[in-house]
Amino acid sequence: MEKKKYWKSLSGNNERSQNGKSRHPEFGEWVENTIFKKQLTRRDFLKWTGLTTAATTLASCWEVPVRKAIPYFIQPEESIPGVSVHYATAYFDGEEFASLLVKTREGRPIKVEPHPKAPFNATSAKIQGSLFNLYDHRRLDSPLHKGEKVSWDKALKETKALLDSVREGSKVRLVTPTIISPATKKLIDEFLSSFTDAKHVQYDVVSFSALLDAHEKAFGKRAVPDYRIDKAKVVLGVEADFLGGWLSAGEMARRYGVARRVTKDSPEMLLHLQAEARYSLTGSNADYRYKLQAGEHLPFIIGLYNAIAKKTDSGLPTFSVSLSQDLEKYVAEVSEKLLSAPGYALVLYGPNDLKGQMFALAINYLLGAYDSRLADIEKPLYIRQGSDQQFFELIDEMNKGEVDVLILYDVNPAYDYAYPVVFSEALKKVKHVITLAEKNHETGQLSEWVLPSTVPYESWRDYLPKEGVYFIAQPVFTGLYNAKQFEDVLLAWLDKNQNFYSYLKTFWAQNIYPLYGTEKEAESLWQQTIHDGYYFLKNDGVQTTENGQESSVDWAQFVTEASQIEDVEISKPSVYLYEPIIGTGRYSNNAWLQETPDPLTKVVWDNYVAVSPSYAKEQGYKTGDLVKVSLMKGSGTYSVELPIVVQPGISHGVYAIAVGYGRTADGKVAQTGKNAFPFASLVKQGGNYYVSWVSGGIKVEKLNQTYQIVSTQEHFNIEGRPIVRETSLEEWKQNPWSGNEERADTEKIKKLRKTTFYPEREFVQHWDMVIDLSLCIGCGACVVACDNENNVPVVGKEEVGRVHEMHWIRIDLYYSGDPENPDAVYQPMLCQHCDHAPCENVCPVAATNSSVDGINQMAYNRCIGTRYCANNCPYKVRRFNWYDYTGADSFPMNEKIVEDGPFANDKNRLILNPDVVVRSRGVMEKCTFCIQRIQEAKLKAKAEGRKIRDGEIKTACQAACPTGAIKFGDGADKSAEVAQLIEGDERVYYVLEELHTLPSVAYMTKIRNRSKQNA
Amino acid sequence: MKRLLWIAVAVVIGGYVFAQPSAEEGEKLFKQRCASCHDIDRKLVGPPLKNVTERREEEWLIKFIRNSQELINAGDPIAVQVFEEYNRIPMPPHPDLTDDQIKSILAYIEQSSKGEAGAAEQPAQQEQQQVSAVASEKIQELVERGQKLFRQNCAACHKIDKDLTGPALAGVTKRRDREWLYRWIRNSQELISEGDPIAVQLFEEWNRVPMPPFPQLTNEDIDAILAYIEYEETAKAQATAPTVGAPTAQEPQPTPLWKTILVASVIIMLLISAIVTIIWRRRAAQLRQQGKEVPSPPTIVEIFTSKYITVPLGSILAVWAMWEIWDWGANIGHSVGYAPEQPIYFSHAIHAGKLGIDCQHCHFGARKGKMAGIPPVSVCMNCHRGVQESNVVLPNGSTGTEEIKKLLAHFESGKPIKWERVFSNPDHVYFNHFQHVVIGKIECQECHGPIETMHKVKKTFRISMGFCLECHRERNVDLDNGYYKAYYEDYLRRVHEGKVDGITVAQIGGADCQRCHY
Repeated sequence: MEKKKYWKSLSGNNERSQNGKSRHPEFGEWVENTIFKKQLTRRDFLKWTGLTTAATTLASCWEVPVRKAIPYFIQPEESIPGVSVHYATAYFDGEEFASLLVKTREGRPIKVEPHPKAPFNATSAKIQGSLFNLYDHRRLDSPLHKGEKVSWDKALKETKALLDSVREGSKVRLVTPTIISPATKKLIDEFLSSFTDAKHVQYDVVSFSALLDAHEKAFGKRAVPDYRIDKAKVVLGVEADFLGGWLSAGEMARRYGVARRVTKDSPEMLLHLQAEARYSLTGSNADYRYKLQAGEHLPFIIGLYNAIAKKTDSGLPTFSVSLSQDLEKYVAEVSEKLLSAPGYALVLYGPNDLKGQMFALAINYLLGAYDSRLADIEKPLYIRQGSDQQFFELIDEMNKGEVDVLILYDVNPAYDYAYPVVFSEALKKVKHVITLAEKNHETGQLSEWVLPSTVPYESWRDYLPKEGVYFIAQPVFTGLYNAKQFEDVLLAWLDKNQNFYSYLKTFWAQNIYPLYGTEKEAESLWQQTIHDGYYFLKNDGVQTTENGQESSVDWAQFVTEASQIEDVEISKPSVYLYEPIIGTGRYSNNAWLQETPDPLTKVVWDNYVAVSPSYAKEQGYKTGDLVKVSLMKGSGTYSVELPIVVQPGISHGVYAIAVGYGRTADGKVAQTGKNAFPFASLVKQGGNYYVSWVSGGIKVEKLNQTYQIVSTQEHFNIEGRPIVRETSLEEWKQNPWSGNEERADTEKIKKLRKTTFYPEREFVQHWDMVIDLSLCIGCGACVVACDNENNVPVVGKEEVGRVHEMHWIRIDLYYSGDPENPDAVYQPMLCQHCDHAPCENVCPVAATNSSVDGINQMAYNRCIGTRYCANNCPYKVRRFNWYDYTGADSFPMNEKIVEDGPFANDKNRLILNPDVVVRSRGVMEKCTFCIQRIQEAKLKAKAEGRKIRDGEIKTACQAACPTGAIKFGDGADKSAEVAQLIEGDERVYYVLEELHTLPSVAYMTKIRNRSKQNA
Repeated sequence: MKRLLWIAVAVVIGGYVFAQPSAEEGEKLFKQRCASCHDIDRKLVGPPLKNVTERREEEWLIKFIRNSQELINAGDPIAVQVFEEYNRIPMPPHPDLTDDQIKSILAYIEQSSKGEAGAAEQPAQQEQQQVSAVASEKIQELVERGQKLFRQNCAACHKIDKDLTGPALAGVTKRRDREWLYRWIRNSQELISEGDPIAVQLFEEWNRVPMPPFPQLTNEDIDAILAYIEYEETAKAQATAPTVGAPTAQEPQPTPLWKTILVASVIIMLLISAIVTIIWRRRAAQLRQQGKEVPSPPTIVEIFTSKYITVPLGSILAVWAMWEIWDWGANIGHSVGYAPEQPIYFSHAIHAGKLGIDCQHCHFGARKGKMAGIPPVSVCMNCHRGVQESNVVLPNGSTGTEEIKKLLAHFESGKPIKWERVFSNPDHVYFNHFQHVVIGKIECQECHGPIETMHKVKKTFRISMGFCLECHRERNVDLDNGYYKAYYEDYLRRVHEGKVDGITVAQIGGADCQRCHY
């Protein structure tokens, strides 16, 4: 069989394209000019040597500083300095919900982990980075009145007086993101009912209006069905980037991981089809990717409906739609694959387009997904409730000058609405605007009042993300910023002498526990719920109808209605917006997320216009060329200048731009890239307006300028060596060694592994990691988790451009096949902890060596910075501190700290892990296998006098991985999962095993659900 | 009488059960109210409470707990005796406890006294096995007792074969008169103030750090300790040097270093002169043979100023000087001898030494995690709520009362005390107290020095990486721990077979970089 050829970049020659020159002299202008530029005479050299020696000696003789030790006055019972405490809590940012365990030290949270027991316990990169937002020193520290700082007392008094004056007859409007807290909802109702004309509008940045409306039309229930892709056999995504933020990235990825896991005992896996024009993270993971042309998702879904309606003999009407030749072929192929698993097939339709959503819904009905509760509408998700139409109406009201008081909580439409200018103008016509926000953002700056609100980690709240599953979020931190919880402000406005905690407790005692029939035990149940963080309703109060809901739906009428809805015309060239790793604006100032490379282009710190290789060639674009993208909107034109990035896999004439960049009213980190939200458009369908992230008819003008785009894709190159292995499900079933044939001769491999000059070593413990390439989706959660756990510095765009990024784990992306629709393989690459590590032999000071438990250890305080080890590492995983990125040095000249980064100031520094040393300039660093966690577990085992249990130690990347691609454990313990995989699984291989480095990180051959590898 | 007492106890217990003053409630109360000063079977600030219900009348106990001062003032003999015995520290009154509550506490004490009586026998049995059966049975008994007493009282400062805070004790029974030893151990200060020449000399020699008095040790106790010391030294001597003849009565005095150097250098100089002379004679003979003129022989001065001598000698001196400078420089960060003035003159010599309060009673963090921690003011106040006066005169001239007043001022103002750190590790070192104190069973004094003898805490050792590694290389891990048992079967077998005497920490990775640096 012919081997696949892998490539990393389109230039093909795998050469590094960025230059390594810095724009600034390393030691500052003065030193550079006086010492380095001048030719040094022998006398000068001696002078400088003498001076520096004397200075160093003097400096080291300095008096040892007096250090204070200040104990608690009264030590809290649960807090012992140096011992971490974990709290169960939950997090919802308006888009994604996660049940978490927060690790705190001396009262400050330092890491979030997925809750080990609760549902919805998966973390995405955003959730892993969310703690950063808690400490962000740009947060608001005092209420503002017309930009002036005022006290909370004054602010509450005056806003209350303001609200009291409009109780009767005036229009009061409250805008929030989706609220999934039942208690908060009740409180909002109480608050609004104290006015004669008040209304609550929910506003989602990533809008699901069309999907919600479609389900309301079908089932009378405006909710998102709980898509159980973990139980599905075939899933089709149509422009739905469900692994990258479409609905709830972490949770969907977790389910995807469940369905995609292949073992010898259960050799079946989910078949993933993706039809899309933009090359998304989800699409890159698909088994079959169908490339749609710009705007073809709607004809495709209608065509698919027709095909399935015909093939299932449902008797439902079909509708004429013109399909291109490609689409005909796709529809035939996809419908056949979907129908191969009746009841286990699911269609996820991404665009916020009512017509398409209704047809997708009908397809899911025809596939039996609602009956089998694969799309569970009886116990649906509540994490999106916003309505674009309601928000549109609100702007209309505002424009008419009818709104007296507008309260905006946690929303920022002046930045993230499709028409920010229209919104801002309308805002000026509102008499009084009260904004409650974490930061004084774009909308806050236009408001009369800005009240600082808490982040979820500082708030008491309950959550109902899915019918029947309740969560309690307890605050894990308080007091750093002078902020108040939204609900507490509402209670103050209602003149209730109560805080939200007691309100919440009463609410649960009265409304939630009675459903369970245990009113009497409310107190103990309450304590238990807070401790657990979640609560299931046994009898959830929702009557499940027999055979689902379809009996009440007249499907023929439903699809006929759908067919009558106006089409959305999208002409070429068109712009596709998408949510990147940094989210939609809430996390823009998050330096960890900004420095995490985009999964597909590996670009950091910027947004850009991604176009396909053929289109770029046609238009004469090169990566880095600046173009001016303009869109006619209403009365004006919105245009930005953005650089081009040529990305494989995108459709012809599609310009893909990430939102979330170009913030004007946030920290330094957030002020990168350009705002792409105004490229969204409002589309009227079935009488309602919908925000569409796909807009046609843009104008693109090439400017004669270039812009430096920094991408890590070509860093740490592998020079074309066979690093990734893959096979297809079919072939693997026939031959478990397929794709990994090199290792099929096990005897030979065993013998080769033992052939060595070194003395043979025996291990009592040997830490091993196994990474399943089938499960890695490239989302980057591990990278952020590692940053957080190991105090990995953020270095900034310029430094990344010089290949100075510090990530201990990176995700390598290898393409194969046609650049216009390539296959992708993601491979997390971290220190391989070789037993015969090439880095160790070349260190002149033995700063890196092998421990008795098989870890390649790095002693920072011994390292003198020769960087020989990094040169000699075949995996390119060692990172050098070229500058003092962490502010550990006493000479500011050496520092290069990203402003607003995790090391920038004392408030942000609170997030650093106190168990991991902060590295200074001039030392090498790399993955330690989270040695601090291993040591902690060892200590615990010693205290309890037992062995370390398998699975007890989880590295940060492993814990963060939503799909469970990473396994870690003691390879010397034959009963451990990793040991059994390494011993017995035919898919296991080591990268560059032929170098005889004996790595401790094993990879498992990627399996695609195809009949043949190159299909 | 005893029977009556039992009946009374039974009735009382019955009453408790009936009125539900359960031991459970008692445990809760005990932890809240008593545990900061009392333990069931250990002496803390207050006496151990094991079987206290058998020792004392219940009525008396209730009175005493409610307000001990009242009883003392009334002249109750037992109360006065207890008061005197415990350094005149009164027990703080607990007027708010009801009779039932006190009874439930007593029920708890009773219950745990019984529960722990059985458990306490086991470790004693284990210890017995440790001393080998070389000595006769009687001696063995004595030696065992001595070993126990030595560990409790002496081991913090003394070792048999090595100087620690105090001198090595090998051969002490031969050096000194037994009567003198009894007196010295019971109260060395007394001997010194009497002007006993040996005592004064010792005191001066050991940096004027007095040995704490042990008035509680009887002559028999001291005999046992000395027997143990003798036993240990002979055991060691047999093990290490079986061929050496009868030990001389006189101790071998090590020759001072300077004498060795002086003698060595004179010998070396003579040797050099001799060699030079020989070489010169041969050379002269050669020259004479060749008929050349023979230069005059070099003088001593010429020899020792020639470059063949000065250059190597100078290099050696330079290296030595650099080593000294290095050694001096290396101490800078370690600051041995650092003893800052603290905001309150808190004396460990009084609290840990005289009163014998367990270190971890206040530094409780050491039992639980990374940091031993400095006790919060609330912990100080557990005792000092009651103890507000003390006529101890401290070395800095102030009295206990004055210092306690400073503490009270902090307590009233609600401000924590800003102590000055004496011991600290650099940022790149991870050190965990729990690991060492609980798992490794290391005494605090091994790193912190004899804190219990210090009024003002002083850094005794240079806690450098060498200091840590030395211990990791020498010390054996606790093979009774299930963790080590599970992982190091091979080693354990070898230990049982007598091939090795244990596994050192370093052997199983205790010298790896990433045990402490990460």
